[in-house]
Amino acid sequence: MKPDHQKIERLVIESQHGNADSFGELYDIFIDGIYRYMFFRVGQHEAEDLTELVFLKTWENIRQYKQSKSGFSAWIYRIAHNLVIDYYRLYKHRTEELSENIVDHRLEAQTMDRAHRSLNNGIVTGSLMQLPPDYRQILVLKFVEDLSYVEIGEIMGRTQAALRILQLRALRKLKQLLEEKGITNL
Amino acid sequence: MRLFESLSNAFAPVKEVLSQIKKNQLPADRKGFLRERILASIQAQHQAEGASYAVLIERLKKAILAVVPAGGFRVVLREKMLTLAALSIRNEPVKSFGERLGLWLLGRRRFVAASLVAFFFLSTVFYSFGVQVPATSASYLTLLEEVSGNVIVFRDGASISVAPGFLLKSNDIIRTDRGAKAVVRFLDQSVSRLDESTEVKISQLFVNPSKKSETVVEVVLTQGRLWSRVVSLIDNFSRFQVKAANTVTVAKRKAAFDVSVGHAGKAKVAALHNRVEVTVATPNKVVETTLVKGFSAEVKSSAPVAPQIAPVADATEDQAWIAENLSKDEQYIAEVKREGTDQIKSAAGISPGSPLYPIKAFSSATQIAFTLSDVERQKKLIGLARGKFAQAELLLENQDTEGAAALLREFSGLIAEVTEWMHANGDSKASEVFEIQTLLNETLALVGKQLSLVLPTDPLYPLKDAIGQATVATASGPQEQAKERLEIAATKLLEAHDLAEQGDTAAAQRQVEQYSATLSEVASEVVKFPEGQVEKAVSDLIDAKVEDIKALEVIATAGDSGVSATPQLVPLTLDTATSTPQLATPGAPLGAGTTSETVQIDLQVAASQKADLDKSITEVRTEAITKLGEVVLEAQKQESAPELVEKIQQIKRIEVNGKSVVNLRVSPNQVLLKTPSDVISIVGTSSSSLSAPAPVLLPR
Repeated sequence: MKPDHQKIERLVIESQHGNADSFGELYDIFIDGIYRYMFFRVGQHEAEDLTELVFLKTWENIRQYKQSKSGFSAWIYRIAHNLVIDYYRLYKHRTEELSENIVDHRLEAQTMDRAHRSLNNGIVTGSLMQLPPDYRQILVLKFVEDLSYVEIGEIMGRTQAALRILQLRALRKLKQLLEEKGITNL
Repeated sequence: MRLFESLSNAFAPVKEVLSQIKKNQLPADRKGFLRERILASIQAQHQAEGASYAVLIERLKKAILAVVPAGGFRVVLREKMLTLAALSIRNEPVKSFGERLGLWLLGRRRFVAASLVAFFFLSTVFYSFGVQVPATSASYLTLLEEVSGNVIVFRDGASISVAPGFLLKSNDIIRTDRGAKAVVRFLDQSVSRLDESTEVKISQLFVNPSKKSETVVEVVLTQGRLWSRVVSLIDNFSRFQVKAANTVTVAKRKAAFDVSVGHAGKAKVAALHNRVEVTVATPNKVVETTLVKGFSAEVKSSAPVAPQIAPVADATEDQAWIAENLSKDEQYIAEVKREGTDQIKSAAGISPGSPLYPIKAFSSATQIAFTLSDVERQKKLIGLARGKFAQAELLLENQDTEGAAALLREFSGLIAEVTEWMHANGDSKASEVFEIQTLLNETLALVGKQLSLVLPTDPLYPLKDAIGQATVATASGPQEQAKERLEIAATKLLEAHDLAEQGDTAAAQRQVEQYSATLSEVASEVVKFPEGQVEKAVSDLIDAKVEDIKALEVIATAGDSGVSATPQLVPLTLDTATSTPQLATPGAPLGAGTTSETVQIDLQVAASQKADLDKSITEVRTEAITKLGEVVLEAQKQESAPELVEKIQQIKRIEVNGKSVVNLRVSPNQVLLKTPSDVISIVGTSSSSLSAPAPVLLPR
């Protein structure tokens, strides 16, 4: 469930005034999303390090944040985005292969619907990693982190119209990749 | 000229067509309308196409949401962030990462499994997944167990008048008025008692959904006094911690401790059972120490110095509070122990003594044989194993040890069958194997926790042993197995502590010796691990050694109190035929044919047993310290292991009650360990140091 925007802004203000516990609550709200974002941008091995950097940078700069239309979510993901850019500049020759055997650690995994067993999570995420970075980014931010086009626009530096097109192309490409792997019931 | 005219005439029809086209162009308003229609059509196509991706999007969400931060990373990073935040607030104005702590934190970018001697500032605890506990999970509730007087809970800004049984969540604040008291029971079976005029915030309630024995509970004491009893945290990751002013007190395994916050942010922590780790953040540095039973640490938040550590005060008020809570703790522990064994028994079904038992057994076997699905079959086997285990408990309670042993063998056999299936299908059925592994881990962890209070002198101890062996057998690889065996070794030490406290020093000594044997085995096996696993195993070993050194200090103290606090006469039977004293079991009949008379022997026997225990502890402690040095030397050889280098730097000094028990000096080819009584030097060789020549004990 997407966290309440007002609650987030309140926690940000409290953090700016030095409330460490409020920052802890912000961390709880964003940790999974930021980690996933990093996971699908730079791969498993670097995701933890970069996630840590995101929160360190967030704390360091939180007093510079000013409430805006796009909100704190866009701001923190923008930090993440910039760190990824820096990372690629430094390590552009490194490649990361995503293992298709991603283990599903969620409680829901224990009661996974049999109908979906044939569509292994690893195949989907493996195909996701084959997409160009922008395609990956829009799919993760839009459908998983549930950000608005306004927020994503601020993160990726694109207009809303461009984002809608990008999203459609990303879905087409993903579907094509899955069909090539024999998954057709989509 | 004529050429120009003829060309012009040739293009005249074209000109005419163009002028016609111009005349027939759409008017501006029609252009606009057509543009809108085309765009709407495109948008509709996109929307239709987008709608057709609904299933794909749903599948994509599920796949991506399966990715969550691994291990204890989430918890560890949270603590690091909060520490950094708290320190930077204290050290205003906020600077950038030029600050010593900020740079140090940036330098430490990876964290590995197992806990370290220094906790969240300088060390880590290890892996699990971050999920907030759903209040609906019956076994993992946090609630207000008792309420007297005016007790209020604040939740999301609203105040709630509460009654016993009120379910608590993360971020709830509990406040007791003057004359009021409250008792909170936590999801990990720990209990906290709030004194009057006390305010506490529950800042973290954490259970690993894949391994429910791994828990983290954190409370923040903002004013007043809080007594906490940690009853049975069964693995190295789990902990219960209380933050107060600029201190953090962390309890693992078992402990009882008291935290109070006075005026001007003065905090005081006292350890009343086993030990706790206390970290204090002063303006200049971070101080960490281990407090053992009977010692307290007092600190002012503004004081630039380390905490004052002293024996717990003899003030009447303090003693009354301590005595009252220790007494209530005993009752609570007995209740938890009873609950645990009752819960195990509830899975027994029809007992082995019942005439219907053979029918039930046949029915279960038939069901399993006819289960077509592999996964369902494994689940049934696990269920059957659990039933066998519960039946074994019933037999042990009826003193049928042979029958129980047979059932435990069947239990082990069933677990082995499931483990074999997992190993055979690990590649081809990854998600199914994961499902079964999780169920198995959960089952074993749950039962292990229910038996955590059972001691070797209890009749049910064979059950605890069986669970330990099953946990090792089902571990996923040599490194995980080593880790589980280190956990079992740590449990032996904890049992030794409890036995020593009860005055049974002979039994305590046996546990210490078993611990030592297990640790030696693991240490010698680690060097044979496949490449890539040695680093992790060595890291686990370092952690285990450090914790065990502290635990041995506590056992030595517990042995003292167990013998001296309640002097008891030890009844013995003197076998006059052999003149051999034997411990008499009260009420037990004398062996047939034995002529004997019961002789009361005084404290000299108890003192003799205590001396034996002390000797064992000294030997084992020296061995543990030596092995620590060897492991550290081995760790230095792991060139690709910066995390190990970090870990070594963090354990330069092991402190108990503010005093050093081990000082470590590390150079590339030598490790020097100084204790209050010895200096041990370990020099590296070309082969693994874990099988190196004996260390040299240097004269002081």
